[in-house]
Amino acid sequence: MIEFHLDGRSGISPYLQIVQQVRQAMRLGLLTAGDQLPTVKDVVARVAINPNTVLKAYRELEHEGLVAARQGVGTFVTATLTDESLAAHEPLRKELAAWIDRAREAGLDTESIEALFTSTFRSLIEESA
Amino acid sequence: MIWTTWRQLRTQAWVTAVALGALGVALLVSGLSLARSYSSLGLATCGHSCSQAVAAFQAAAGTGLNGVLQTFAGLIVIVVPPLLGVFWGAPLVARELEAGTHRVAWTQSVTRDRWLATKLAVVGASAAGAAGLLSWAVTAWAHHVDTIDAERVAPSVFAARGVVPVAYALFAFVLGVTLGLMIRRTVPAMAATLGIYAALLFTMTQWVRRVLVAPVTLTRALDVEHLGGIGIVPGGTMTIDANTDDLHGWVLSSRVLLPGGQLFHPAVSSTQCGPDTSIDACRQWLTSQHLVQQVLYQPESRFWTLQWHEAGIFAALAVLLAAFCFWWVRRVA
Amino acid sequence: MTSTVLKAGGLTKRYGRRTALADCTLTLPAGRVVGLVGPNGAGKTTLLHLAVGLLAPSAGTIEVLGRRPAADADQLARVGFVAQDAPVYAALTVGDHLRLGAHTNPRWDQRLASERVRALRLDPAQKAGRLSGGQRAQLALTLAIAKRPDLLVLDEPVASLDPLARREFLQGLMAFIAEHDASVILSSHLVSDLERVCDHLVVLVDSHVRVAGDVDDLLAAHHRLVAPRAAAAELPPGLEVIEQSHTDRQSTLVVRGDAPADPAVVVEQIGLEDLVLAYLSQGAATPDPVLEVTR
Repeated sequence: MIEFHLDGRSGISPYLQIVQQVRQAMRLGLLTAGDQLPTVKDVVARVAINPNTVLKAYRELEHEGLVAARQGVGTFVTATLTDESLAAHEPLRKELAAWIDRAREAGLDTESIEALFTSTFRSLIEESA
Repeated sequence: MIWTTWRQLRTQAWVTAVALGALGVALLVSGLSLARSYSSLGLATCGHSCSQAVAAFQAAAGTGLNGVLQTFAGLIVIVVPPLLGVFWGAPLVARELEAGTHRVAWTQSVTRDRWLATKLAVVGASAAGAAGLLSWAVTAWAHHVDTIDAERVAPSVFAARGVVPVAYALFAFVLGVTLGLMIRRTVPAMAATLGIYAALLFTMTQWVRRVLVAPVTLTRALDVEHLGGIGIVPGGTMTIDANTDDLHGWVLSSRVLLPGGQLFHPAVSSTQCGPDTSIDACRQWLTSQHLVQQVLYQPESRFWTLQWHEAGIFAALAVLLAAFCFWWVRRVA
Repeated sequence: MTSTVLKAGGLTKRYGRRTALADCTLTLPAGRVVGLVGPNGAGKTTLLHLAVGLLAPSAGTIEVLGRRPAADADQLARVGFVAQDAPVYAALTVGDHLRLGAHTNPRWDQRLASERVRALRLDPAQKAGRLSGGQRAQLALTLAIAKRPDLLVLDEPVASLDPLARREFLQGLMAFIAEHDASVILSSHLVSDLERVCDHLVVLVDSHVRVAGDVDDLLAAHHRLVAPRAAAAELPPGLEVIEQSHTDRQSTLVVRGDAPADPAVVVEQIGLEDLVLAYLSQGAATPDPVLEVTR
């Protein structure tokens, strides 16, 4: 079982934050097929949001084929997102670390590194979209 | 709703019950001792004729606990109805409006009309019951004293006996509720209740009760031997105060008239009846005038008639005010 | 159960010569958490009091759950209300309040009430007058939800609470509606209080309804445009300008309608708080325009 937390300043709508947190937990292996998501009542009693928001998030996840609702029991994870991609995490992280080191050597400060990464990341994502 | 009303009345009800209980015990103790004196003095058989026994009884009734109650019991019966109006009636709705809890009360599954009806009925009946119990206890306690004195229709005694205290209490309570509802603040509503009740009771006693039932007019020859007094203003007019002590009841007016019916109000004459003439000569002259005494009074026998009439008036006023409350409560937010 | 929880037509309330609510026409869907937002004195309390039947309209009509508010005991049983500042009987205990609720409500849910009191760690023997602001609000909410209403009306329920109490209150409220199918109308002068919990919004300014609608629809329909002044002057028709500010070169606008395709115009999403503020400032700048959007 996982717990959700909402960031009011992020600018991301609460329903999307829940969707992302479930995906994140699945990627990190915290949630695997067969696990139950917290009930709507538990979520709203914890983070004080509209129950419809939680329902909307769960419906979105259901639509993506990641979870399934069982009438009167709860919502359960049906897919696994960890598979082989999790194994690729470590080498990728090392490459990224090496890149950051090179950027430092080139004289970029922390802010410049972050700006460069973010802008490159965004433009690549937009191109592929 | 009944439970809610009782729960909110609990403190006042307890205070009242304890006070009434204490008074009841005192009245019982004193009443028993008065009953013993009454029978041991043989007053049951000889009544007013044995003046010595009457004097002894009155002396017993005026000392110790009896005396304290003689002074205060009637007063308590008179002040309890306005106190019920002030402490039970005025806060009943005003306190809710003041604290905003009417918004709680009127949004439960009870209509505003039923809410008000239950409050008026439960607390009103309790107030009437408390006043009734008190009045009954004091009336019973004072039975022998009242029989001897025979002046239950006199204003100071009338309001403290019989059924009128019940009607007063009912009226004072509804008056308090009404003013609380209109003024919406407890303390001002309490003050207004007391003021209006006192003004109304004064009006009742001073003007209305006299003519509630047409008073008895008694016309008889002036008893010159037992005058209440003769008033003489030298060089002015003379007035005669006729005696009414033999009449049992509430004397409203007593006038001395000439045989023709005109008011006897002569100029002072120094030869017949004046500062220089003797009292005997004066009496002789007055006798020769064939004067008539005209008394307007409510006899003692009218006690219950007057009681029911007055109680009816106050009960009717209470009903009218209650109807007004139902109309007004719809306008309150 | 009706699909409309509240329907008002030309609803007006006057106190003497002062108009507290003017010509309010509004339809609120059932099953939502409706936020009623507006500055203090905008007429929020008046509208809510009309909805629960504490007030009678001066003109116009209002129907709640298809019937006249407070028409009879049955209608009263279907609507729960927590008034502003959560009044409670200071001299009665927490337990007395629950008994009061049980005695005056035929649909009273004793299990729900006692479970809530236990979860809130309220002492049933405690006098309500000694409770903290947050506890008092929770007790008032308990009284209102344990009568198991179809509609729960809350007037500024969190305004006087500290942040922690505020969150706990909203947690309890949301837990209730997640479990029981109830509609909620709650007012606040702060959008931030309502942002997470509301899915329908009504903005009330100067006793008029400025805008009303589902939060998602409102967010999708409104944009913030940043454009050179010249481009801003030639916006396509059909765009309704809610708020605008200009420098000598640049214009910033909040608009309702489809975003223009002009590449010189930067279109941004607008958050709920900014959206409401745009309507509030519109009310301050132009006293009269009545904009009513009802679904």
